Amino acid sequence: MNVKKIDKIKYGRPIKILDLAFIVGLVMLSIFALLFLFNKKGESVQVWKQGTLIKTVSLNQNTQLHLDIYDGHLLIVIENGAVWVEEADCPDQICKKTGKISRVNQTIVCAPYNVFLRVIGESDLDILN
Amino acid sequence: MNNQTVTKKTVRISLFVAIALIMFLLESLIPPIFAFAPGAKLGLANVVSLCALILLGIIDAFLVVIIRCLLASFFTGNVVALMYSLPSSLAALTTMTILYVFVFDKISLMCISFVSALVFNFVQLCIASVVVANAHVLFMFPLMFLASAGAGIFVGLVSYYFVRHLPSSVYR
Repeated sequence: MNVKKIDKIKYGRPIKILDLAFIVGLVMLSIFALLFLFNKKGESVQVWKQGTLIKTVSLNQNTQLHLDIYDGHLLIVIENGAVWVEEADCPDQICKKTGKISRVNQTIVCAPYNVFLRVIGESDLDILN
Repeated sequence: MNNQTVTKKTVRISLFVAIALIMFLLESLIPPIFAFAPGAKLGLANVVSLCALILLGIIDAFLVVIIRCLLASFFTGNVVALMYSLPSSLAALTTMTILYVFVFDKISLMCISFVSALVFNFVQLCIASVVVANAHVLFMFPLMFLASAGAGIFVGLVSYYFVRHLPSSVYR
């Protein structure tokens, strides 16, 4: 440890103006990136399981998808142009907590089950076809 | 190094690990603050990493973080989580170390913890994208970025006030 540096923390200020500018600048940048990334309404959703695309479902229909993985299951609901995970047996439940997604490039990840949902737009569909 | 300093070191490391584990458990009790970013936490245990780096030195700080990650995953019984927590915690601590040793005093503690929180989340997203074998997970980065900005600033301020109010007899 370095006593000099600890003293510098002790008698210094918590925030320096240059740091504040750096942080505010990066936060603004990420907000712009968010607006740019998620600015289109999605057309359909891709369902990836264990690294392979198993299904592409249109968001304009109301359906439910049931996936059996290892010893558990995953219930994906598509309704009114949005998709979300309704039920999951995985330990961390992060996919459920992500909530509803409906815009292009938004994703839901279920890491323990290796399932990945991604909303795509019209232009992406053209490339696939 | 005589016996007394070794004992002193061991006690200090175990104290920091204990505090980090308590922080980790307390954090799992409070509801997620950054509801918009899935899985994002405040990272209270990182306060201990940063303070260990400042008060114990580089090698001991790495020991504290490795032991904390191992014990936390054993306690929660979620060994898969170790795959995420260990590399990202080590990457965050490495960032902290580099910034603290080379550029500290030009930038504040808050900035150090802000950058390390960014690295933490970036490494975690990279691991997630490798696990699901899809680089599109990285589209979540701006969202995680906002969460890590909040968490990093909070952790930096807490560490600052912790060191500030620490009596100097503890480290001299």
